[in-house]
Order: sequence, then C-alpha cells, then structure tokens
Amino acid sequence: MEADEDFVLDNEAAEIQRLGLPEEEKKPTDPEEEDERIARIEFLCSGCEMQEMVHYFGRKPPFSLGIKYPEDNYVMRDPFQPPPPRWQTKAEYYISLGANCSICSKTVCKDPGCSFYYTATFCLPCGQDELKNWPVEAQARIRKQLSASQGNKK
Amino acid sequence: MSRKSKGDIGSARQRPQLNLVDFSFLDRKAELAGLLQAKSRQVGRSLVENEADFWKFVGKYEAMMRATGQPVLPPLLAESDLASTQPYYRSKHLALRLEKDELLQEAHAEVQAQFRHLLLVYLDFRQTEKFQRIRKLRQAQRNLPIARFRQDLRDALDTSRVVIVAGDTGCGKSTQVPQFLYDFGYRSIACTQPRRLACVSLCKRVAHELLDDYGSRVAFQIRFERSRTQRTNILFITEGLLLRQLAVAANLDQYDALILDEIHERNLFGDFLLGVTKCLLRARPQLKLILMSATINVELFHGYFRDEGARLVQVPGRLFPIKLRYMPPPALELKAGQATAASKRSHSARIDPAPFVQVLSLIDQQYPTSERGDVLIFVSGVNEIESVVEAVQEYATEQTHWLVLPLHSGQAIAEQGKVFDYAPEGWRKCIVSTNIAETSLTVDGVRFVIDSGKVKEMSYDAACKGQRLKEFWVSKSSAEQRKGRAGRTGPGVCFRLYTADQFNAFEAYPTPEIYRVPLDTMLLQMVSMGLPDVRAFPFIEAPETERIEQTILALKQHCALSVEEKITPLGSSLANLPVELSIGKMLLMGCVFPEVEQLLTLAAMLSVQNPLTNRAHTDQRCVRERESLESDQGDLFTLVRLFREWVQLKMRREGTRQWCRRLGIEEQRFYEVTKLRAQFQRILESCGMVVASSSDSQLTSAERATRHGELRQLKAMKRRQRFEQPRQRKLLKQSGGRGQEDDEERDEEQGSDMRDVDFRLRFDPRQLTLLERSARLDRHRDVVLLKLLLGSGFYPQLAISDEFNYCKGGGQQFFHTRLKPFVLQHPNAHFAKHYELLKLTDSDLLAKPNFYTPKHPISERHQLLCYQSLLETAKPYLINCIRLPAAQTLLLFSFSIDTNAGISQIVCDGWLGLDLPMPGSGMELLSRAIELRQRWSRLLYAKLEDLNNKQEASSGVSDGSSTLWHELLDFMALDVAYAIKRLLPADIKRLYSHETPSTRLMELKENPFARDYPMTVNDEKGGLNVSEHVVYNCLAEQQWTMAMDAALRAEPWTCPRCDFELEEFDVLEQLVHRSHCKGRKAQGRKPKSDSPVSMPETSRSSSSHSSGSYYCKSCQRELRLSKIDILRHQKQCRNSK
Repeated sequence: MEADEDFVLDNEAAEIQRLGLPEEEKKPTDPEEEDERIARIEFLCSGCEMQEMVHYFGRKPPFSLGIKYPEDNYVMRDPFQPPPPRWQTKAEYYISLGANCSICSKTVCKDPGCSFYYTATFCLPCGQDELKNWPVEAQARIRKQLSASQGNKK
Repeated sequence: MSRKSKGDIGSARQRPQLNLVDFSFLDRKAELAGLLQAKSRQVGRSLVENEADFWKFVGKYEAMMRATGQPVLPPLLAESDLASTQPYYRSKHLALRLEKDELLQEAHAEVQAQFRHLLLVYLDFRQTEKFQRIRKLRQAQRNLPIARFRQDLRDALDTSRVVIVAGDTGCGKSTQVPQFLYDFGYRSIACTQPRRLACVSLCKRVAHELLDDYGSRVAFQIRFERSRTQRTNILFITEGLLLRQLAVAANLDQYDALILDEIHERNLFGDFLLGVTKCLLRARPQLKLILMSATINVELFHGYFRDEGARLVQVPGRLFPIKLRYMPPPALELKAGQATAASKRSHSARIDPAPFVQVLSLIDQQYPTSERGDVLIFVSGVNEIESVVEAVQEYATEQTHWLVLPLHSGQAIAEQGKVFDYAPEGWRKCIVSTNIAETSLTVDGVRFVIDSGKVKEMSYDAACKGQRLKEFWVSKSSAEQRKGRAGRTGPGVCFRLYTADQFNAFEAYPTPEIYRVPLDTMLLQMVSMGLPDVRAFPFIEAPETERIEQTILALKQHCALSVEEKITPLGSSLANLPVELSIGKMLLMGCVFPEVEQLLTLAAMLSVQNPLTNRAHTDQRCVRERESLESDQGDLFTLVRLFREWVQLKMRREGTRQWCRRLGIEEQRFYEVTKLRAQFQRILESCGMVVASSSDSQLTSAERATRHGELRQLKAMKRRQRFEQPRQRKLLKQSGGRGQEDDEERDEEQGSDMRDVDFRLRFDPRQLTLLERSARLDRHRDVVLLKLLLGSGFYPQLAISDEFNYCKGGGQQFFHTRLKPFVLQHPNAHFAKHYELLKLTDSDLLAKPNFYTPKHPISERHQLLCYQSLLETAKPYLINCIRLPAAQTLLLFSFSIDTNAGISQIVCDGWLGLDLPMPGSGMELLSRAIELRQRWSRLLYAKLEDLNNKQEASSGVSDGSSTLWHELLDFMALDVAYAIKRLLPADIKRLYSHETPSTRLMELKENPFARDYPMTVNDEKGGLNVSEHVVYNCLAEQQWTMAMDAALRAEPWTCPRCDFELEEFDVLEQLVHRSHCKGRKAQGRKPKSDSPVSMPETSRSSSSHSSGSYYCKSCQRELRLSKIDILRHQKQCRNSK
C-alpha cells in the first residue's frame, strides 16, 4: 500500500450508518407490487435460453411512444436511457426481446439464430418447414439465417 | 402502413413513385422533420432518441438503395397486405408498426408516407441494435470463466455457510458472484472492497449487467458518498465502512449474504473483517459468507475457516498468453554514476524514466499503431508517476499517438475514471499507475505492461513509533498479478525492468498490512465492539504479541482503556470517531470548551491528505502566490488560512478551481475537509458532546427565498449530471499526450464543476459564514488554545531541538524525539525554511543566577515541537509540527512528572529535564498545572459521564469551561525562566533518590498539590505520589539545586499575596501555605476576563501581570508585577541591599 492511501484507509472508517444521508432514502410512493417500473414477466427464449425479466407482454406497451407491435411481444423498458418521469413515455423507450412463434407458440428471441420474421414471427425450425410457401426472396433470407445458425452450432 | 384506411390504398397506388436517383429525403429535412413528432403536451417530442443519428441513417439508407440498384421505393402496403406471404415485399420483415393515433401530423403525400416508412425501418433497426446490446452483454457474462461455476457455487452455498471463491484476475468473480447470489434469491447482499474506487466502478458495472443503470438495485457506499436506497439489493461497500456498521449494529442483521472480496490483499481492515466475520457466523446462523480471493495463498484462508466447513470453489482465470521480457536497465555502474550526479542536482533520488520511454519506443517500433492495445506502467508512488508521466509526455510530443494518464489513489474519483475511457483509433493510452491497478482496478484493453518491480510500502517501526515509507521489490505474486494485466483482452507482453534472477529472489507474498501499521485504532475498535480480550481475537495471522502489548499500554496511557483493559468512556467515544486516535483525542479534549468550531476545521484539515501538491513546492509561482498566507505557527495554520481564503472565494461565488491550481492546492482535499468537518460535528452532536448548531432558522425570509431558488437550480444540475453519469466510456481527447489537463479545462468551460454544485447544495450562505469563521485564526488566544488542544492529541509525540542547532544552518537543524534522536523537519515545512522561529534569540537568553552552574541556557522562551507523525522516507521527518512553550506543555500533558524537594528540577516522562533556578517558579508552574489538569479532566469526564447517562450537558459545565479556558491561557503565557535538556541514559541512572520521603513529608496532613488526591509513597523512584501524574521529591538533588537551597534558606520569605511570612525560605512550608493562602483564593475567584493576561501576545514583552499591584517593602515602591516577577524583584532587591 502506498503512502497517501494510508490516510484514506484510516479515514475510510468514516461514515456511520446511522448518521448517513437520510434524504437519499426515498420511500417507494406505491407498494412495490403496483410499481409498473419493475420487470415481473419472465422471458425465456426456447432457442438460445436467453433469459430476462420484461415489463410487458402484448402489442402496445404503455411506456412506448408512437409505435405498436403487430403481434404480442415481450417488451422491456429501455435500460440504456434515463427513465422518463413516472407515467410518461419517451422516444424509443422500449426494447422487444421476442415473441411467440406463430406456428408452435414457442417463445423465441429476436436473434437471427432463434427466429425469423416474415409477416409473422417463426421459430427457425417452424420457419424451415414453412419456407416452401414463401417467395424466393424470403426463402433466401431464412436459408441464410439457417445456415449461419447451423454454422454457429458446429 | 402509416395509412391504414382502405380508401387511402387505392389512391396510394396511383401516386408517383419516388426514385432516389433524383430524390433525397435529406433535401426536405425541414419540411419532413415535423413527421417525426409525437402528439404530446410537451412541444417537440420526437419519436427518435437522436434525430441527428436518424438523418445519418436516412443518408446511408438512400445510398445503400442506390448502390444496390433499387432506387425506386416500393409501394407502401396496407396492414392486410402485410399479413399475406405473397408477393414479396421487404416491408413484410418489419415487426413494428407506427401508432398513428399518437403522431402529431398525418402523412398525406407519397413523400410523407414513404418518409414515415423509413422512420419505421429506422426504429426497427434501432430495436435490433438495442436487443443485440443486451444479448452481447449476456454472452460476455456467459463466457466468463466464473459462469461455469454458478451451479458449483449454488451447491456450495446449500451445504455450507462459508464459501471461498478463488479465481484469478479476470475470471469475473467480483462482478458475477453478487449477481449469482441475487439470482439465488438473496436480496440484501453486501460486498466489501478495499478501495473506494472499486466500489464505485463495480457498482456501475453490475448495475449495467442487471440492466439497472438508472435504478438503485445495485449501490455503493463509500466515505462521504452513497447511492444506496431502500430498493438496493446489492451493496458495494468499503471494508472500513462495513466495520463501522458492525460497531453500530453488532450483527449486521440487515444483510443475508456477505461477500468479502480481495481478501488476498491482506490489508488491515480485510484481516480484521475476516476475524470479525468468523465470530459473526456464530451469532448469525442464517448469514452466508463468501470470501473471494485471487489464487494467492488460498490454503491459508481455507484452513482458517476449516472448522466452519468452508467450501472452496476454484475458478481458473481466463488469460491470453503473455510474452515475458526481462529488460533490466542496462549497465548498472553507468547508471549509478548518472543517478548520483542527478540526485546531487535535485537533492532527491528521483526515478529515472528513461527505461520506460525506451520500452514505449520499442513498442512503437515493433507494433504498428493499427493494432490496438494500451500500455500500463507500474511504478512505486506518486512522485514516480509524475516523473514518468513527464517523460512520456515529452516523448509524446514526437510520437503523437500517446495519451498519458496517471492513476493513483490520491486522485479524485472522476479523475481516476478517465483511465477507462477509450483512446481514439490509432492512439494508445499509457497509464502510469501505482499498485492500485494491480488487482482490484481493472483497465481493459491493456496489451503491454511495463513493471518497474517496485512498490512503496509503509512500515511501522514500533521502536520509535514512526512510520517508514520505503521502496521495496514487489513479491512474486504481485509481479505475476501485474503481468496478468497484459493478457485480459488478448495476447499481451509484459516488460519487466529487472532480471529473472532478481525475480526469483523476490518474496513469495507481500507482507500483510497488519505487520506494517500501528494497531491502536484497530485494537480500540475491537475492545469497543465488546471483545473481552484482544489477545484472543482470531487473527488469521496474529501480529507480534509484543506489539499488541505495547499498543494496549499506549491505549491505557491515553486513558482509552482502563487498567483492567475495559473500554473507558473516553475510549468508546474515541472508537466512535472515524479518525486517528490523536485527532479523536483532541476533538474530545476540546469539547469541554465553549467553542469548538475552529477545532473541528483544524481536526478535519489534519485528517485529510496534504492539500498541497508537489507542484506547490517546486513551482516558484505557487510558492510566491502562497507566501502572504504563510503562518509562522506552522504548516497546519497556513493550510487553515488557505482554506479560509478558499471559503471566502466561495462566499463571493467566485471560481475556486483556478485559484487552487494557481496556488498548488488539490481542491478535492478542501471539499473533503468540509465534509469531514460536518461529519465530526454530526458525531459530536449526536453523542451530546457539543451543542447542536441551529443555522437554518437564522436565514431571513429573503435569504431563504434566494436559497430556495438556488437549491432548485443546483438540484436540477445534479440530476442532469446523475443521468449523464452512467455514460459509456468516453473517447479520450487527442491532445498531444496531455489527456488529463485538457479534459479538466473542458469541464471548466462547461462550468459543470459537480464538486462545487455539491458544496453549494450543502452550504447555505449562513453556513458558509460559519465555516468561514471556523477557519479564522486571528486572535492570539484562539491560536494558543488550538495549539494546546493539538498538543493534547499529539502528546507524547514531542520533539526537542538539538542543543547545537543555534550555531547551525537550515539543513542541519536536528530534533530529538523520546524514542528517536536526530530527526528533521520536512524540507517543505515552514519550520524548515524559517528555522529561526524555533531558536532562542540572544535577547531571549537570561542571566543565570550564580548557583546555577550547568551550561544549559536559561530562557522564558524555550519551545517544543508537537508533531502529528514521524515519517521516514529518505530521512526521518516530523510531519505537521506545531511549536509550544516547552515547560507549560510538558507539565500539562506528561504521563509522569518527577520533581525534587525544592521543585527547582522537574523531569517529564523520564526524558526531558527542566531546571527552574528562579525561586518559587517551579512551585507556581507545577501547582497550577496540576490544578488545571485536574479540572480539565474532571470537565471531560463529566461530559463523558453525562453522555453515558444520556443526559444533556449541564450548563454548569460550560461555565466552568470558560474559566478553565482563560486560566489555561494565563498558564501558557506565564513567563518562567528555565533551562531544558534531554536526559541521557547516564543521567537517568542517577536521577532518582529512591529514598522514602522524610518524616516531615510523611506527616503532611493534606496533599498540598491536590487536596483530594491521597498521597502515597512511590516505592520505585522514592518520594510521594501527589497526583495521578506527579511524584514529588523523588529526584536526587544536584549540586546546583543544593547551592540554590542554601542560598535561599538564608533569606526569610513573604507570601506575595498575603502577609504570611516565613523566617527562612522553605519550599514545603510554602507549599502548605499556598493551598491555604487567602490572598490566592481571593485571586482565584476573580473572573479572569478582567485579567490583562488574556491577550498574551501583546503583553508578552512587558511581562504578564496576573496579580494586582504589589508593594515592595524593601524598595518601598508600588509595582505592577506578575507573581514570578515579584519573586524576581524581591530577589534583586535583596541582592542590591
């Protein structure tokens, strides 16, 4: 340990809990159960096992601004932006992690290795079964994803 | 899809198509921008987070469409069309729709509709980006070596209460284990860290990984700063603070899991915590304890918790291969020659930065700048950092891709944070660090490590109660840790500036701190926590028994422990104060006086690192700027003056940062002083030692209104800053190697000095005025009292000038402490530059009476130094000295005072001897000192008792305190002529008479010094114990004392205060008379504020008058003289007769 840190350590023993800064301790205004800001819905991708808690499942998250989803999505409040004042929304304050496969209803995340969106969400296995009914452009796209995800698995 | 009504579709198909070959949305920015807006009460609320980014995207999108040959924008589809798989449209891949109802404007024309579609494409793209960000974060976590041990950890926690996680640097334990525990269901997890910075950075990292950057589930708590709220589940806290919490809430019931991180560092608090938690496990059966360590000496910890059934989880590190290159500086002889030449010039053996620069230049030659990778240099200390930084900056003027960043624990947190910022493409960071970057603090992106192999370590020398800061070779384990820093993000290179042979000779592990620092604070805390016998504390590696015993003895001497080693009221109050014992003691001693404001400021100043930077002394401009504020009372008082000046600037709302830089002051320290001072005040108020100040109510309503406005403004600034804070790593500015200064200037331009905002939040104008007043040290009596209080805390850290200092120059002024002879003032100290302040001038020397034969000079102006600490670096230096009148200080604070029968000779603590050849002066001094000491400690104990009985301090106490204050000032100003000398071992042998007291003494009915103290025979030294600290008549008479006695006995004696007369001069009779003298009693009752002595500075030259007029019978004159002068006058009169 170096010299000047010696002081620091001595003094480190500084703050006594009970003398702390009480003004920072804000009591939650609502009982926690009602706090919509807490993520309570579990999202678990059947493909990659990505697991997150999200705030909303459905098409129109109350915290989104100007958008909606064409199918039910698992949506979380954007953790990378400062939160808006309570009950208010802000731009792009939403991240959809995934949706249920339109065929088998399995939950899949948005990663190209797990799902494909063409008019609806498909898990990759269902997408593989379904692709023959699609235009060639869509087929080409999903094939690319399929081969990439298989490449990853190897 | 922005238009969904069926009717629109038909018309849309007829609309002209947009062709990007001759069209760009960018040309119609102004007209289209409105389409980005949402309906909202707030004006101008956009659908996109960052409009500039959106327009950039539009540009790229257009370019892409043109490049891929699809310049004609496809028609827009209705919702129903979007659901059918045929025909193919790209827009069918979009899993997002706009909510038309929430948009401000409708899109009518094709351009507008297409633009809306583009907006949707952009939003979808951003969704993907954000999603991938989360996914990558999770992948990175999953790839950490610790991730595979999650289940092992869970199993271990299920079966045992103690789990040791041993993992190398970079295995992710510090960030992941707290999260695992959270996942396992623990909801109140405390994780200790040895360093504040680690608490903050880990908190930020873990919060980020929990996607809670803006929440408070993860928080930190360090000195003066905490982010903890009621929602907090994971708390990063410094070891010292957790110990404090233990002292307050004995069992830490608030936590269900406790993680002690970095226990391999073996610092004092870490070791202490290990022992405490070992005990805690018994008291808290539900508590889980997780110990985390690097893979250093793991068996030691495992063995220590064997009885508790500790489970060990070993995690291999994830290190990329590191190439090791030993590069000892070439040709040692040659170097040695240069070094001595250099050191002669600069007077200090500075580190030679050349080898470091050589390695940088080697890196430049061998690795193209297109390959990223930063450099981390390890040196031993702050001075070394400065030297290397300077040299590298010079090098960077040629090789301009280097950004130099110093890193050490003395920096402000924001400053330290800069090392985490990115270097721009093609640049390299060069971080010059102490061992702080060795373990806990991890800077990613380091590819090259340059290891000096040196570390500066403080060691404690119990023999002289001093600390020694010395440079050592590091241990093998430290060297390996340093090397490991190069391989965290990719393969790396470690350059060791020493040989492989040298490495092999290194110690295996560093010395635990417990062997290197004083133990007093820790032992006192242990006792105050209720440990019955500190010797039985389960130390992981116990310090030497002898040192424990010494420490206990010292604590007893300070009255912190009773003779039975129980905590005393003083001790428990001391343990409550988060400062060194000496500072705690002066705070408590000062609490008996009516005003403690200045003492609080002074004590806070003593407790922070020195605010003066190195530059403050090397840069002549800084020296000149400060000159007018230098105090001849020593550096501490100068600092307080500087602080006052600073507060005054704050009061005038002027910028202080520039000013601090101009004077060479590290401003952070002054902020710390204000915080620490407030903390002292809170603690002392909370335990009733001082009366709470009520400052808020005293603001006028106008002031309150202004203040209210100001607070709102400040809070807004603070909130803004808080939300900006969890910023991603910034790109460092490219500025010719000087990343740091430039950044500071930039901050300044923005005027966003958050420390200033914080400061202003805490201090309203009224409080500022109080603060300013507390730094005012104009009145001489304040200075005297403060010095006295400082002395009371620092005692027995005293030093006396060498007897030959009078004939020597500045560099050779030596001082002696009791335990260590020949120590120096630090060259930067005021007393080193103005050493004449510590010398006697010719006019200070008084004529010796004939009988006084020893060679020691007689004077009324002898001074002693009281010092805060003794620190040995290049030489042993006294740190933070104050000068005090010698005899008075000694008599007030010495643990043991011995005198001869005539009180012409006094020996203090067995090492300093006072000769008082002026008749009666010794008696006067000693009697008054005994009385004052008794009153002082009685007042203190009354306060402490009150406090234990939870009562308000009675007002009577404060009455007593103000007279005590005045009498102490009188006492300090007494003009007494004496000689002072350091006793040598030979003197001490012959010091004591070892005789049982004479029958006359034994027959004394009453203790003439302290009436209520029962006198006992001192068997060891001889003589009588007449007070707690004083032994009367135990010193063997010297030739001169006998001669003095003989000379005096021939004369009769008259009491100067009443008409009592003695036929011959007899000290014992005088003593007995003294305690009954009516004249003295009358004198004593007189309020002292009338006395002209209260301003000693002005009255010093004219000698002090504490008694009224005196009528000399022999020369038949009415005189105004002090007691001592009366005695002197009597003698002169007689002589002249």
